[in-house]
Amino acid sequence: MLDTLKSPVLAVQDFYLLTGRALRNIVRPPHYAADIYLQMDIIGVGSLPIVICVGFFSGAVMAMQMAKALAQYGAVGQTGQIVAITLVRELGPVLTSLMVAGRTASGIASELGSMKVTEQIDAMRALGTDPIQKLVTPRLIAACFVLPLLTVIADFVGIFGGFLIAYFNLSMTPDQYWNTAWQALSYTDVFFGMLKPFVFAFAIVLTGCYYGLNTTGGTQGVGRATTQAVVVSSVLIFFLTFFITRIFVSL
Amino acid sequence: MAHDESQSVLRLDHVTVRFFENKALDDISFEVRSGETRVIFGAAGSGKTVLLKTALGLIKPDSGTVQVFGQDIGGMQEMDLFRIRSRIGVLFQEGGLFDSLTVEENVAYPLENLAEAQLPPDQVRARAAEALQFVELGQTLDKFPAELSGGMRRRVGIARAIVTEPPLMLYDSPTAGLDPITAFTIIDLIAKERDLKNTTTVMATHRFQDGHFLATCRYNPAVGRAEPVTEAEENALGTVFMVLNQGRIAFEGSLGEFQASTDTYVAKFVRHEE
Repeated sequence: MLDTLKSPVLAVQDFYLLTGRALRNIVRPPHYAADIYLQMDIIGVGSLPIVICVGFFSGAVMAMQMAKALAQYGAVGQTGQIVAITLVRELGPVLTSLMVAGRTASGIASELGSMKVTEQIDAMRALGTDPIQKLVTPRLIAACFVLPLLTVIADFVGIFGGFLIAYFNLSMTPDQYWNTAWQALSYTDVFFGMLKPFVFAFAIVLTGCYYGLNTTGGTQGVGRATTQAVVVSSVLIFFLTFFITRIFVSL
Repeated sequence: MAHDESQSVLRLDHVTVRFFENKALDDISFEVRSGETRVIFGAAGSGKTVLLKTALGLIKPDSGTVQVFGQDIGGMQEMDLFRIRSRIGVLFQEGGLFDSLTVEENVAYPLENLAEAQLPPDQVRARAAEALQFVELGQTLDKFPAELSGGMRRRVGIARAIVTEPPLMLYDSPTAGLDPITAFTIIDLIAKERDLKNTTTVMATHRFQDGHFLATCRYNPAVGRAEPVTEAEENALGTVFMVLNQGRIAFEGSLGEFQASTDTYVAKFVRHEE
């Protein structure tokens, strides 16, 4: 029984140690600014097309579904409100983070995993570089910065997608749609809508790095680490959004 | 560079390393003195790589002490270990070259990152080029590791290891997976580095001829290659042979004792002479 528990307990301990060291390195020199900018480009700019695409279609689908439901109560005019609230509070942060998790957690796990099995991580340590400082912290800083920005873009594009449906399919005027959408949002919605991707960025990057840095078993191990990173980070996103929403609704 | 022969460079005392329930190293004790060449034999999974990584401080022993240049590295923080590692050159079994960096950047990496070995930026390129020239790869500066053959990658790994001119070199299976001609080139380079710079050398391998070559040949700068030495010179080279079996030392002694060993496991490594 104890042996069965030993492995997951050790994994949790290692994950917390990795998190602690990655956070400590934020304020500890040396700082790899070039790596941070590079990761911002890879994670942020690289994810932009898929985030825009997912944001647009989720907003458009939301508008079509909501309009059909609201029509039963004669409240089609509230479509903008529903789309804005749903996207900013929940769908924008979660869908954006899931897309970034699919791209980034897998990318990080496979890159670091390949480095681990080819002894590049050991070489880094042997040659005077802390791999967590060089590989984990820049990715963490970059993701924490770009993921909220990507979410804002996804939210806006989603609301715009909803507007196109409202304008062309539901014959709503732009003023009607945008006014209800704008007025529905409070500062708390926007704050929690930005807080979620910030928290999710930790889950995505640290999960990817954890599985990457603990890869064993050659190329097969890299594939396994990549899959685990995507699955665990996706589950963590849903787990965390539940708790953040729980806090939000109790306010 | 003259060496104090009595100086202990690497010392392991009752070192045990466990991975969960498996003992990768089991109560290992030995000492490497300055100028010594130690060749470690062992089958795959016998603990050769773990032993070298423990000596580097990359793996912490579960029990026992590891002393490098007279300092106990067991309780050292990573930052303090960088200072010790700046005096150790290492060639990893997989090469460990950074595949996103060019050959020149790989070789220059320790000069830019190891605090104790850092050079002014204007001297880094020249030193890296010099190290690559030593391994006869001066023409590959701008290539990426993926563009090189296995033997060339191993030579770049040697160049990166020696660029800081460390007094202790660790080679982890430097000839594994190479054809005999390339393997000979690599061993010749290891002898060249050892004999021209009086480097203390620890090499893990499973090929008898690698150890035999280091024990019986010395690099001759006049002819540009290693040549066999007389028996007296061979004794002066003082090569120590060690055999690991499932994490334990199964044999430790001179070339003659190694070749004369009647132990079934130890003899397996001697009989494979080509």
